[in-house]
Amino acid sequence: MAEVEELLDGVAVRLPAAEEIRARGRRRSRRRTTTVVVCTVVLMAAGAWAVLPTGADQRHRRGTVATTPDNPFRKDGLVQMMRADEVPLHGTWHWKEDEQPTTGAGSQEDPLPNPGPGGACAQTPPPVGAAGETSYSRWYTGRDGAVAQHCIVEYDDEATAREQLRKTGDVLESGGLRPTPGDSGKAEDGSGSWAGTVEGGRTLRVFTRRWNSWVSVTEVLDGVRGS
Amino acid sequence: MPTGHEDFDAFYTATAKRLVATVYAVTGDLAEAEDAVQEAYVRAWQRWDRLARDGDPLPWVRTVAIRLAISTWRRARNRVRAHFRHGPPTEVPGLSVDRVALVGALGELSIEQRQAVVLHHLLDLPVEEVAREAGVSNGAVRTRLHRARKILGERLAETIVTAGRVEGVHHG
Repeated sequence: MAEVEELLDGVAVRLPAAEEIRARGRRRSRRRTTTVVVCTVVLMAAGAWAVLPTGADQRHRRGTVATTPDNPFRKDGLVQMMRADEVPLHGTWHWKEDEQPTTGAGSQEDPLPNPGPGGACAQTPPPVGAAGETSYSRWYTGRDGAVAQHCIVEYDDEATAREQLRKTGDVLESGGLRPTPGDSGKAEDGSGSWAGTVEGGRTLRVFTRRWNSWVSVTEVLDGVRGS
Repeated sequence: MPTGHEDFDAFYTATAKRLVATVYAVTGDLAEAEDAVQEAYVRAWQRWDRLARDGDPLPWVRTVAIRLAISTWRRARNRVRAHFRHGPPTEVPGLSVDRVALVGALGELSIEQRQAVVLHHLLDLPVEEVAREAGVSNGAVRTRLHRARKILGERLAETIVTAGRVEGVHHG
């Protein structure tokens, strides 16, 4: 097969100078910094100081000094999607990785709701987030029609990741899911889990976790025994 | 000693056009490929220290560019479908006939199959790396490649048969 560059042999490719690319990045960062500062002031005025982000790569908790471990979602430059045996309830449903979403591509028939952060965890592979986010998904099928999806989203900054995770919890709870007691996603690392009965009487469980500007969401829809 | 922006500029200069070609091969739309690649490099510059520290930034930039392009391309395709229109494929001035044929053949594949074919066969990435970049298992990539090769084989056979008939008529 041809070398990929040969595809565009003799074709004028429209690319700006590197300096222009850097200038765009700088302008965007300045706008974001301004937005974060304004939001921070508003939150402080509302007395929400305990949950304020303190920077993209810094985590502080009141009265404690947090360590900053390595990114659990990305190692050696590669996103770490769950292996099938790492998906919750593997012992029950015996997950296997699936190439495609179980049904459809974002159709109303998709068995899994789409509670991912900001709608970033689309059902259609490969999922793509809006500007400012990059997402990765993997699908799994298990016994008795059980299905699961693991989604990792990288946002441009920690404040956005926190906000999206908070919204995710709100969406889940407005959809009838309830936080697992003592595990409501309000922990510093965004760890949380929700469960509830969805259409068809099946149980949907959602697990979240955050590290800096990264968010992980795992959805598990139980199978129907004897199906 | 090179500074951060000198490193970035050198990286951009060395990799950008090849990346545009890669994304173009996946989506078949040069304008979208150019936009997606530019956006991916802007995002890369915003986190350049981290990317450079982690090793080769290219897989990250490539993944972002392809995902952005697929997203845009899908939206555009859906708009077209929604209006029940079948527009002509994107014209790329100066693209040679055999390159058009190759892009046309790739167009027979699903977007997931195209991504696998382009990364594995055009960029020579091992299956394991294709899987990591696509966020799927090695087995899924092998399945996509197998199905893609079958479709491409059939498409090529049809092309040869069609060319033979045309040639036969011409010389007959």
